[in-house]
Parts: sequence; C-alpha cells; structure tokens
Amino acid sequence: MPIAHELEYARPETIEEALGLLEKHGSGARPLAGGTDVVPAMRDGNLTPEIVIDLKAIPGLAGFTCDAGLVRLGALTTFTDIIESAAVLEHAPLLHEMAVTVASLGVRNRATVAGNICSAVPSCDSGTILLVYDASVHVVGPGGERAIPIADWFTGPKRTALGEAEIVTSVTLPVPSDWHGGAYVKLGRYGGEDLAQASVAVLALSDGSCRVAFGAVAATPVRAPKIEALLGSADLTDALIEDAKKLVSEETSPIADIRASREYREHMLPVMLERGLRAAARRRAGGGPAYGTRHI
Amino acid sequence: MGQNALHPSGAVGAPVRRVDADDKVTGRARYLDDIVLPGMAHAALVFPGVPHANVRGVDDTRARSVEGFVATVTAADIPGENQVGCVDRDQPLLAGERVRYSGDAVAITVAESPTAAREAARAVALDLEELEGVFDAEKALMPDAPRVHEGDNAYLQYRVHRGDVDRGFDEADVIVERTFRTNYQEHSYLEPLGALAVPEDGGTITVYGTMQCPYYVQKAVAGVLGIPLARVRIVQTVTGGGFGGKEDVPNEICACAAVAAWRTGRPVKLVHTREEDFYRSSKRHPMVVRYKLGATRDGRFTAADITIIADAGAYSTLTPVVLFRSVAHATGPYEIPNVRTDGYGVYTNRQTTGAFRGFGQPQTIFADESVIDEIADTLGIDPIEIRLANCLAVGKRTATGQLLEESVGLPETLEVARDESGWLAKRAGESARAGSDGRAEPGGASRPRERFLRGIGVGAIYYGVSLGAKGLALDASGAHLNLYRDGSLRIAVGGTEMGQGLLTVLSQMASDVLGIPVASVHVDHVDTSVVPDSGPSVASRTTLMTGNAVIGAATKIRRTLAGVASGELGGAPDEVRFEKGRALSNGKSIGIEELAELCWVRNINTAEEGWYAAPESTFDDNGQGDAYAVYSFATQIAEVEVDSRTGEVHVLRMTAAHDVGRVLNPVTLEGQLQGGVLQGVGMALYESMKTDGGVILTPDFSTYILPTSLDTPEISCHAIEAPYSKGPFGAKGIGETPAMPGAVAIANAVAHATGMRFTELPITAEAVRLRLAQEETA
Repeated sequence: MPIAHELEYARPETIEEALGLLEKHGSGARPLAGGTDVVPAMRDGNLTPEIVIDLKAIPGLAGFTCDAGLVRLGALTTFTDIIESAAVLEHAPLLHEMAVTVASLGVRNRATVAGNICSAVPSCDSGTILLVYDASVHVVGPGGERAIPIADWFTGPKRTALGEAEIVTSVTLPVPSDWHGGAYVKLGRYGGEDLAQASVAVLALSDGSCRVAFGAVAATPVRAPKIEALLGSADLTDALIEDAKKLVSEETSPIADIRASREYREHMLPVMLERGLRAAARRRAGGGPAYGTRHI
Repeated sequence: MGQNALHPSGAVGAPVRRVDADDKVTGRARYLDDIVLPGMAHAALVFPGVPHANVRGVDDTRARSVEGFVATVTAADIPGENQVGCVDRDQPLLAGERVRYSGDAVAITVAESPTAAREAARAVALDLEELEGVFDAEKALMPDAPRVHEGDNAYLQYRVHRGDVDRGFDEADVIVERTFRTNYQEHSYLEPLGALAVPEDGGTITVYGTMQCPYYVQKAVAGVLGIPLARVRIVQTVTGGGFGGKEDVPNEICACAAVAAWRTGRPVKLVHTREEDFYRSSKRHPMVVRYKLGATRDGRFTAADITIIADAGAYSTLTPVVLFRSVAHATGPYEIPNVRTDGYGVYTNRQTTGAFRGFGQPQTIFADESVIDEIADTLGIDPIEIRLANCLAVGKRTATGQLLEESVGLPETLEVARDESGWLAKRAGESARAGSDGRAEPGGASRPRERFLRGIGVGAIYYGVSLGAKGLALDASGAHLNLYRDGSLRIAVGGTEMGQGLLTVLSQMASDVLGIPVASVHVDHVDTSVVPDSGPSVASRTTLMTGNAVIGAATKIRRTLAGVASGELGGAPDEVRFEKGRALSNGKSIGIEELAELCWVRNINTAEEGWYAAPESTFDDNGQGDAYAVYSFATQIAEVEVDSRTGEVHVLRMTAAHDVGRVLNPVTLEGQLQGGVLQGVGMALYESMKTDGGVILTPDFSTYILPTSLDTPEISCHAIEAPYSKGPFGAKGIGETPAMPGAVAIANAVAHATGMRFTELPITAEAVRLRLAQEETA
C-alpha cells in the first residue's frame, strides 16, 4: 500500500537549509535518513508529517571515521557501513556485533544508527551499545551545536532529548585504546530477524571493570549501575556472576507485549547477563568467540 | 534425494527443470497485481471494526467527498443472491444486516486508486448495534452462549464408530488420555489475495485472480450477479502460493470485484494488503482434541475414543469437508478394531477457518502421535516398533472399515526414516535417562540438567487422496490437448498451478505419451471457458486427476498418430512406439512434426479432450465405508536440541520418507517435501496467532513469525514407491503430506529430550523455558 496522505518532500543540500525547513514547519516536519522507521509509519497512517526532510544529500552528515580512541559515526552511517568496516571490527568490535543482529540485510543497507536512536524504541539495538561506550550525540539547531551524553539522550519510549528544530549530525564513541572485550546478547524468538525481546550489552575494560546495559526491559535502554558497582574490578568468578544476576530485577522493569511475556523476560535476563559477562571477559583475555557470534 | 526411483527412459521420473522457473526467477511472470487495464478502478472493503453487530445503516456521505471516489456498493446493489457459502449457504458476500466477525465486509468502495478506495472505505459511517460475541469454541457450546447464526453453534457433526469401544478398553493393559489444543495457522503465501473483474460485451464478465479453484469462483460470481455460468469466465493468473488459503476465499474476493465492476461498468481491481489478508482470509482450524487410546502389554492398540471440537469461525465455509477428513483419519494410520470418533464444527465470532495443507489432520495427528509415544514409553517399547506393529498395510482395514488392497508404503516409510536418521543409536543415546525397567523417566529431573538436551521423535501419517466421500460433488477433471501441425503441443487443464509444479509434471507426462520433448509442450493456467468444470485444486488431487485427464487425451492423439505412422512406415498401429520426437515402426521412423503435418494436410483432427473421474467412495452414518480411493503415507523423524537455559528448540535434522506411488520429478518432489517440512517446523515452534475478542493482534510478519532459512534444519528426503494402479504412471498425491507429520515429530523429539510433553502448539522457547522453570522450582 502506498502512503495515503499528501506530504511535501524536501531534499536540502546543506545543514542550514535543513534547519530552515525544520524551523518553518515545526512539528509538521519529519527528518528522514534511511526511512526504515519513518516510511512504514507513514504507510500505516501512524505518522502524518506535512513534510519529510530527506537528509541524505547533505555532505556533512555522511561518512564515518574510526581510529584508536574515537569512532565518529556521521548521521547517515548505516548498519551495513559498520558491518563492512575492518576498522570498526578492530577498534570497536562490539558495534559490529550489535550491527549484525539488526533486522535484515535490506534494512541494514538503509537504516542508520542515528535514526535508530532518534526512533528511540526501548528495544533499539544501538542504544545499549552506545550506553556502554559512553557515546555522545552531536546535534545542531537554531541555538548552534551541542553534544548530548548518551546517558541523557533517551527520555522515554520513543522520546529523546533532541529539540524540535534540531537534527543529529553525528555520534561519537570514545573507544578504550587498550585491550578490552565486549558482548551483545540479543533475545529473539527465532533465527530470523526480530526485535529484541531483551538485550544485554557488556563492555569489559582493561582495568577489570565492566559496563553493563539492558535494552527492551525498561522505558528506555538503561545502564546497570548497581551491577557495575558490584562487579567493580574484581575477577568474574562464578559466585560474583551469581550475585550480579540477583541484581537484574533491581535494574530492569520488563513488561509483557505481543512478542514475549514479562515472566519470560525476567527468566532470560540473568541468563543473558551471565553469557554476556563470560563472553566479554574471555574476549578481554584475548580468547572467546569471534565477534558477531550469537550468544543465545 | 535417496529414492528407489524406477528411472524410466522418458521425461517422467527425470529431474526436469520447472517450466515456469525462468519467468518466476526473472520477474517476468505476471501476477494479478501486475495487470493494468485502461479505465480500471480500484476497490476496498468496509470493515466493521467489531466482531458481532446488527447493521442498522451505511452512510457514505463523507466517502463521496474523497478525491477519486467512484461508487459505494452495498448489499442492496448485489443483483443476484447475496450469498457465497460454498457448502452451507450461511455466508452473505456483504454483511448487510449482521456482522459476524471483524473481517466481514459490510460494503465496497470504488475509487480511482487503491489509496483513495481505502480512504473512502474508512470514511463510510456504519450504524452498528453491537452484540455480545463468542470467541472460544468450547464456550460456544454452552447453552447460554451467544448464537452466531439462527441454530446451535455446534452446527455440524461427523462420526466414525466401529467395533465395541468399551470392550476394547477392557482388553487394554494401558490407557492414555490427553487433551490437545492447537492454534490458528496462517497460510502466509507470498502473493496476497486479489482479483480483477472486467465487464465485457454481450453481458459477460471475465474475472482474473490468484486462486486454486476457478470453477468455485465461476459459480460464486454467477450467483451474486444473477447470470448464467456461460456468461462468466474465470482466468487464473500466475498464483504465488495457496496452501489451501486460495481454495474458497477467492470466491469472496472475486465476487466483490465482480459486483463492483458490474455496478460501475468498469474493470475493478481488488488486492488485499498483507494485514487485510490476515484479518479476512481463512486459517487452519484451532482444534481441541480429546484423545484416549488403549493398548495391550505387547503394544497392540485395542481401542480409541476421540472427540474433536473445531472452531469454524463465523461461517461454515469448508469446515464440513475439513472436519470429515479430521474424523475419517483421526486414529492415525493404524488398524484399531474399536473406534469412537466424534467431531463437532462450532460457530464463533472469529475468523473463518478452512483449508490448509493437511486439511484438518495436523491437529488430530498431534494428538494421536503424541499419545502413541506415551503408550510406547509406558510399555518400554520403541516408538517406531509400536507403530510398525499396528500400522496399516495391504490387507488391513482403516478406521472406516476400508480394506486396503494396494499401494500402502507406510511400513517402508517407517523403516526408511528409522534407518536413514540413525534412529536406533540416537534414541538409545538418551538411555542414560531410562530407568532399569526400561521406562523413560521425565527429563533427567533427578540429576542436574545439562544445558543442551538432545532428542529424536517420529510422526507417521496417512492421507486420503482427492475429495473422498464427503467432499463436494464432482470429483473429476478435464484436459484439452491440441497438437499443432509443427508437432508442438498446447495443453489446457482445469487444475491449477499454485507453485507446486503442476505445469512441469503435466508437460513430462504428455512428453512421455507422445514421445516429444518437454520443450515442445506448453501448459496454460486455467481458463474456465476452455475446459469443463474440473473440481478444485486441493486435497492432493490435481496431479492424479488432471494428470490422468492429460494422459487420456494424449493417448487419443497418439492413437491417431499411430494410425498415420503405420500407414507411412508399415507395421501394426498398436505397435508403433513414440520416443525422442519420432514414431518408430517396422524398423523405420518418422518425425512427430512430419506426422502432425500429414494430419493437417489430410484433415485429421489432432485436438482431443481428456476426462478422468475418481472411483466411487462411501461413508455411512456410522462413518463406515471406502472413504477415499487411495491413501498417501509418510513418516518424518525430527532431531532437536533444546537449550535448557533459554528454552529454545533447534531442529537439527528432519528425515522425511514419503510413499508417493511413483516419483514423477525428483526435484519438484523434493521441493514439495522441504517446503512442507518447514511448515511443520513453523506449526511446531513458531507460528503463534494472538487474538483478543475476535480481533487478530498479530497481522504481519513482524509479530507473526515464520521459520526462515536460519531456522531451517538439514532436510533429508526419501521417496518410497508403492505404485497406485489408477494413478498417472503409478503416482499418488504429494501436496499435503509433507506438512503433516513434522510438527508432532518435533513435539515428540522435545518430549524425548526434556521429558516434558507439550499438549499445545506452538512449543515456543518461552513455553519451554517457563515449563522448565516450573519443574526446577517443584
């Protein structure tokens, strides 16, 4: 079915032009990157903007760089760009492990990381990964440029700290320059493409500490400060992992939906945390499964 | 593919490439929605938004202001009878007075684009008086349940009563009784439903559509328009899958398009979105099956007592024929002397349910094959051994008392599947769990559970080929063959290609009879103005029925050619052989194209009709008789690995052994088997329709999931050939059986792996994990 309502389509070539259109149309405007969320929502009649502002012709938003120390994802960076980058696999392999779980090949070819966090559904795959990397979201608007820490980005289901007249220009991830390990554990219902029913991201750092985030089990993707504090920089012994698993219920508040029950999510989160911690620790030690391997 | 193929010299039995492959792979094939005609308008359906209501008024004032609006069509605009019920006449095309489910169409809007038509449909205001609905077949049986139609909700009953069931249970040493529940299953064909109706000269109408049963559609369209069948022409377009979902439902789609075209005088196209298809198309019947089976200590079945409750949905549609099949086959493919099977069809205010590959059997198979495994476990007998000890064979009688006289390859399917899967070693591999008396204990509960649990399970089935005794009348099929003067052959048939490979096997058959290359043969999709009513393309009947009609007509042409050839070459006409494009006789030969040209020059007819009628079948008030002319048999074995921490069931390998009578094309056969096996995997593990108060909550492939290539196990296919004397080249139907034994084989493998028996499908990771958690805390 085609999109049922009339709308204007603009394809600005500069950021200034895009911001001008945003300011003019206010809440009636909808920026568009890959369109894999926006277009189906318009087709289903759930989103009826007066104008879509296609950002794909703006040179400054394209491209991404990946060096030891910093990964910078231009707002138009797709999941396929990430998957195909040898540099990402070397410097930020957890990003790679997340990207291969997103939807299907056709969607990954279009969908962008920036769009993913702008849609901001609680199950978004990028959210947990950016949280454990302590990423920043760079935006520009009438008031100029600003950087929003990822911890402040998600404000509720499908809600973010992005202002109405602002657009995302890039996302940056400070990457530990010394040896570290990560794991992304995503629960689907089968081998095919699925939204995360729950997800866990773990980043195990060289100082022995771990960062942990959960997706799809709270109103937004969330870091797990109590678990991180418990783990500290200690060895990940079986006993410590068991203790960490007991804290999961304090960090998350899963709900039931059409895909999975609350009870099942509660059962699975500790299992997923354990698998994520063990894989990340093994990778930190130089072993473990190759990045991109499914953990469940 | 492992097989005992007879490897004939000609095309039949050879891995001939599908004749429609190139068109489909390159995108050249023209499906319904690819057809665009000048002046064409588009239709959309007005849905009620509630599952049960009286309709007090339809107001299209707002719809008329939609840009591109053409017309609104209501029940009052139907020139003929507002009725499309195909067995029971209980289903109006447009629900003008009463809405009985949320997918009932109250009116049709017509506009210049599909978008405008849908916008107009949403703008139609309905004045509805909501009624209390009933959304559960068991609740619909209660005396105070809301009635969906005038009479009782339990509107249909079939039974098979044989022997003395009470005495049979007295003779039993072990009895197992369980209640099983199955959910809807969506056909999920790639191409949604669609039709294009074109009013034409002389008061005729042509309707193009994606469908399995053009002659059903012809009757439905003639009925709603109130015109004779001779003025209605139905043309089947290239059809992107059916699986039973395009048996009767295209009657409604095509009739809606026809009424709209008749009213506006324009070609009108109506194509469902995927979501509309979920809301409105029929599905596999949810069934409750209470199953009680008795056996002696040595594993001989003595009695079966079976009750089947089938949720028919809001209208009867095909439930009578589906339920007949469920009841007739409910014991599974075993000889049981004492049987009491009672099946009930029940109206609810839910989606209609009808034909789906397996046709009412996968639900009862889930029950019978689960209970047999429990009996085998209790007695310490191997599940395959107990099946071999009781299974049908030549000389045995089915539950309907039918004596099987030929073509019963069931024991061989069990043996081949057992041997090819390595069953004995793998089944014994779990013997660590078995107690000293040989009885299996539940899931090793006494010791710490391993993370990965492996299991192997079996399912065996039989399937009466074609319509059987309670099918709709007319179990016959026609073909029209025209050999042109250049030796090429065009075939028109009444059976439909829906992706199963019919065009290819018919080409092979004609090729073999006339000795011409497959490339010289072209088979058309069905046009009802060319071939007489040939019944439906369902019930694994099309290769058998249409194939025999093609062979009949081709044989007539060959007789003509043989007469001409013997005149040219010498020798007797009935000794002329046809192979490799030439007729051979008297040590000499002549090309078929030369013979065809000679016929043309001499005014000899080389176009012939073929007609094949099924042998008579019977089914008396107690369900006794020769229910079907012949049966297909199959065994599938599933190997699974269960992750006890997550509950995920991974199917590692499926071994499918199918008695097909005769392999016509090993490649298309293997395709049928693989696809069916995967539908069994979907039914077993993934396909879970969520509903609430008659509304489907999972109307897309994001929420309703199907197995993908990543969920596909290794599938090992084996053909058993127990030829059927009346089948084309000995073949029997293969359409349905691939989708039938797999789901229960997987359920039995999960039971073997975990010690937990599931009585509801699908067995999702969530269901397994939560059940394991219960056991762990218990």
